Amino acid sequence: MIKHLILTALALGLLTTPLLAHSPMTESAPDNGAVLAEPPSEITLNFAGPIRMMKATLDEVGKGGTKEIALDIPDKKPNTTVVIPVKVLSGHEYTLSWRGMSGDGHVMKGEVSFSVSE
Amino acid sequence: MMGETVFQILIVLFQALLYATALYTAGSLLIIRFLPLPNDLEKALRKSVFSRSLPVSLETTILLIFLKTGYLYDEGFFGMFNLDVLSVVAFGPDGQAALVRIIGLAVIAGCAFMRAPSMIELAGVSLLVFSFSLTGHSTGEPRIVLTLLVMLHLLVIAYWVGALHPLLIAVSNPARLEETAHLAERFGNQALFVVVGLLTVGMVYAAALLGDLSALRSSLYGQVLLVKLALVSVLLIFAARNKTRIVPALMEGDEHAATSLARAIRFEAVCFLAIFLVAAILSSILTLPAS
Repeated sequence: MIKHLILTALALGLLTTPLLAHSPMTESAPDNGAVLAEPPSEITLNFAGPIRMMKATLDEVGKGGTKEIALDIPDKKPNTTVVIPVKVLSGHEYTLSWRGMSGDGHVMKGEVSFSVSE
Repeated sequence: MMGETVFQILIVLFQALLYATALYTAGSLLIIRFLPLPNDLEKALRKSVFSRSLPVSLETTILLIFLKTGYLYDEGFFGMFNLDVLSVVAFGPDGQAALVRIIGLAVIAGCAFMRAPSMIELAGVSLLVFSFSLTGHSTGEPRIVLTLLVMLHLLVIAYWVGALHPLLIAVSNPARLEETAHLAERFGNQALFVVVGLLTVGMVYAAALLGDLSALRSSLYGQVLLVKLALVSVLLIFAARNKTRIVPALMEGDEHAATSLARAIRFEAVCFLAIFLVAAILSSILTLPAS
């Protein structure tokens, strides 16, 4: 029986392949750390698998100080590409913080920082 | 205000409690069916399942849905009750797993009240164990293989966990030394298969998740997994000592062996709690290294 169990387990092992780590973010536009000449009207996040984006905030740093802006997420259905409309100003630095749920139920979160030239 | 770290800690603690109570419930019923036990031990075990572990499993399952909601929304205590986010969690993988788990627990409880055949009770146990494959890392591809691996892994752990309580009750009564010795020997013979199954399935599952054994050292997930493996190794040392030294001494009527076995069982229970805690960290907070 032990022999059968080991052989079965090895056979199962041969059938398996490495898994994707939940649904990690693969890229963003703008890129993390980007310095932009023009203020973007939206931020696009791409993921390895579908994610339900639940919350996004934008920290704005300018001459007048820091403020946190809550962002509307137009589509909360599972998506591999999430587009978040933003209103940003020239001469400011921004950090987008996002939270969502991946297809396997894990809470995913991340940040994207960028700045806009004067 | 409840911050993100508080939610993470609570999720890990309650997830570990869920593993402990759900696997105790499943394991106790498996032990009753397959060891099997003397009537008084079976009665004591069923009482413990239906008055403690089963209700706590149910309550913890529901509580975890709210904690997950709060963690996802990250708006403090009241974030747990945000209907928008709650519905996403409830209709997502966590909600589906909770539903299957609750049905499994209800089938088990229903069998006790209606004196249904043990096959139906085992179907409830299967649903309970299956529910753990519906979330987390086992939902990747190949889904069927990973589901079977998780179920096998949890069933063998449950069987071991389920044996601890009746063995401890039996070994604590000096009047039933001989009966305990035979019970422990019978479990020891079965445990050989349990241990081989646990190790094989665990290693195949870990290899399937990580893809590359070098990730064991290079990723945080792998390092925590190594802690879990170390704890499992301690358990195996105790199991080997029980089988080769303590149980044979017990068979010869050595009363000191009974004390040693009781101590070993308590230590194994503590080891299992530590393993459940580490498993909860792996399944709730840590992400797999990117492939």
